[in-house]
Amino acid sequence: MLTATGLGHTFSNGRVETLALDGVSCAFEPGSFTAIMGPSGSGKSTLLYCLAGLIRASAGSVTFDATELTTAKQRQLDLLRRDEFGFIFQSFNLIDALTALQNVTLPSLFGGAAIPREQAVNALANVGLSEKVKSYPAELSGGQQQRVAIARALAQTRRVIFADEPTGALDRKSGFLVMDQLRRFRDVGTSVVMVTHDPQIAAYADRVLFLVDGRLVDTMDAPTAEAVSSRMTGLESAAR
Amino acid sequence: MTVAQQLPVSLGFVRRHRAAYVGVAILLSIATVAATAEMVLFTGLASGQAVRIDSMSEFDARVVRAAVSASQGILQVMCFTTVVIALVLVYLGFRNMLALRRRELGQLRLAGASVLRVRVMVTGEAFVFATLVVIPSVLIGGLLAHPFYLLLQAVGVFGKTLRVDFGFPVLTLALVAGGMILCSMVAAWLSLRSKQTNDVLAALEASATGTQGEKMSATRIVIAAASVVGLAAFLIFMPDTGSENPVASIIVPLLIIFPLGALAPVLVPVVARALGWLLRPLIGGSGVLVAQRASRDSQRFASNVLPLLILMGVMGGFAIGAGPDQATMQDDYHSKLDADLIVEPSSVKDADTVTGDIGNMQGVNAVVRSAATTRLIEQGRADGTFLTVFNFVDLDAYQDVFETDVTTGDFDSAGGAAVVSTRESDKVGDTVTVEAPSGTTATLTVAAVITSRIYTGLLVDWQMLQTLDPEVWDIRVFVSADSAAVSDITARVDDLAPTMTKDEFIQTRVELRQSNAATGNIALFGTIYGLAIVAMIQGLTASVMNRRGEFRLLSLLGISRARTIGTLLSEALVLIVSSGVLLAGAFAFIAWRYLAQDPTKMATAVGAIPWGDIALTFVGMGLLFTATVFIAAVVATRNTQR
Repeated sequence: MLTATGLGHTFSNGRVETLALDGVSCAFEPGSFTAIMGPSGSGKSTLLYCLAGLIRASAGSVTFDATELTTAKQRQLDLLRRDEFGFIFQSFNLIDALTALQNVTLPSLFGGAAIPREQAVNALANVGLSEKVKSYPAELSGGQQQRVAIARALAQTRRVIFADEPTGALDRKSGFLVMDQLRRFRDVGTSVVMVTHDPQIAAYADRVLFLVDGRLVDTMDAPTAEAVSSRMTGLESAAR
Repeated sequence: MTVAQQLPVSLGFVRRHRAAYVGVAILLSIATVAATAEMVLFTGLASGQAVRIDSMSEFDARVVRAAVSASQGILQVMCFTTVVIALVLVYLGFRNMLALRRRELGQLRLAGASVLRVRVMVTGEAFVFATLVVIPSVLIGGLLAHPFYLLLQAVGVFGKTLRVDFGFPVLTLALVAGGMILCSMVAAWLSLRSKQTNDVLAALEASATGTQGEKMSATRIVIAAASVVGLAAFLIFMPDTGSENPVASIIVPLLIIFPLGALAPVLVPVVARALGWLLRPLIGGSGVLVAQRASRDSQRFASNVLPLLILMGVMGGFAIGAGPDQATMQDDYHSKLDADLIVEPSSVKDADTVTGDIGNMQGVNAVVRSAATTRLIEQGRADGTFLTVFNFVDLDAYQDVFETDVTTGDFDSAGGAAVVSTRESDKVGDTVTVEAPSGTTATLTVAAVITSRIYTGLLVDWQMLQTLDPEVWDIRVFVSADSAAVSDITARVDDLAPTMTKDEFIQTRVELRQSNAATGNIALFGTIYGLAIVAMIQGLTASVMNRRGEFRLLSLLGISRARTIGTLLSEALVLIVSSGVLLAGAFAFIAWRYLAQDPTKMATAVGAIPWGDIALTFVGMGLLFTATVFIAAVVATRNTQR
């Protein structure tokens, strides 16, 4: 299980310090789908990156099973990204020089569990890209590229998927298709942690965490788009 | 990861970045070809076995081998400087190329690759890439060794009679190939600093704007500062090695480019920032952008101008290093040569005839014949120690025409087998046994040691020419005479040999000296100039292409393509002017340090430096710099307007 306790983080450029997270505590059960929402600058992405070990939090702790991510060695974090965590970003993060299939099998090249070709092809087929196995990212639409990123996460058993605005660069139809794919992760016992600003997308999650000024101010279970939208409007009004 | 697994990934990367790879490949190829040609030349000549002597007498072969050995120092310097500069430029090439791939490296890290794994992977790519480039380049370099030798021979580094058979030195080629491949791998490894790959998010996000954001680390600033303090102390307190030292033209460029290279990451941004603000009225807001970027992107600024600094630093340093030597020679000819007419007969016989004709003419004060040779073998010295120049002169009249600074001994006692030496290491009473082509030997005894910039080596009495009878050149007759007698002498010897006045003679010596300096410059550093130009083009292109994300952002903000290109050209202008300021400062400091050693000759020495040529070369390089940035900018901004 992934757990954050009293998580705090401050960005510094040497002259100015900015508090991005302030005492955030939350837990993510296996098979849960959590959306993180909040106004701009509320610390959503920072929380996601701290949970994923991409940023070492300044205060508090993040534990994944028995591993403390804030003090873990670089190699331990590398192994977590390779074997346990999957990432889906707004900018897709596919390697332009590799085909869709090569992008899916990429993690296995770094010593992770082998991904047989059939398994990778199946992962692409599961996201509707069986015809695009040999295509390069530049030959795919934004929605297709995001689905390749999802297939990369699907191809291996991941325990946590981190998604940062996964539909931010997509049209509505492609966005909903991607969300359907993300739900499948939850169905096989994977935790999904997603940052979004779109209430309709957040409604795909089981739970929504609301952040304001780096603090966790509210949670909502079984969210609907309307309820999330209403709550966000209230938070943004309060923030002004 | 197995090789089979990595291969398609690596091939994909190479294909994706083929333009950048081609740039590094050209740089690596030229460096390898040059290093191979020089190494084959060096090893071939160093062994002495490659010298072809089929048509030569045993005597000539020994002379040739001595000449070859004397050239080894130059070849060693050429090999060393070429390899060191090539390494620096290849390193810069790899660094620029890997900067283009920073996002990819971040993506690999995101996929779980460790920092070590990424480094090993990229170094492995460098190995494959370098092998593909270096092997054919080494073979081409081996084949070019002989043409390269002919080129050096054409510019006067070797004698015209020398013939060399280089063969196919497999071991040398293998060593160069192995060395260059290893260097490429090291360059790739070093280029991939942990800073670029440790921070996964930074690597992923940096590409969005194209900003490398590489400020100089505190450690590097300390190292650079320590280097400059050490160098300044060395320059200020070093013992006087003699500004007229012939190797000054090789040392001075190194004294310029090493500190400039070490300090470029600090100095270039500082000067660029100041110039950006100063040039604001001229180039508008672009100046402000450059000034702001200078402090954020110091590494890129420095690496962009480093090849230009190397090229100009070497060229200017060579000219400054050669300046005092030329000035001293010029001064000595003016002040120590008391001849009113110089006759240049084509043979010893003609020289004797001219001397006989005019020796007793009214108004003639003194006549000195002079001829030089290196075609005598000194016995008792191992071949290859150095090559002595034997100057046959009329010793009895010598001091009537040449003012002489006698260090030790009695010049007047010289004559016959008693000779005068200009070598500081010689002592009165030393004997030198020489062997002539005919097999005749003579034992010469040093009667006096003098300081002379007009003649070097040994002054041997003209009469000894009959005894030894070697092939001689630079045959001249120096005549000191009343002005009225000069025209009579000219008329009398006109049919036999050309004549010239003292000023005309000095002018020919100065022109010859300048010509030798120019050819020597090309022979010694031509390879470096070629490498620096390629590195500059490759580095600038990669640097501009690396900023495509930034250009897209500017386009999104409504900045026109022309405006973006204009901003880049303004940046180029500031960088060129910054380089000019730094080079001018370095030249001024080094010139002051070297030329001020003898204030009386300073004006002549400063005048002897071809400032116009240096400035013209800088302008030419500046234009090339600007053109490269312009072309790269046009290409890089092509797809940003959507």
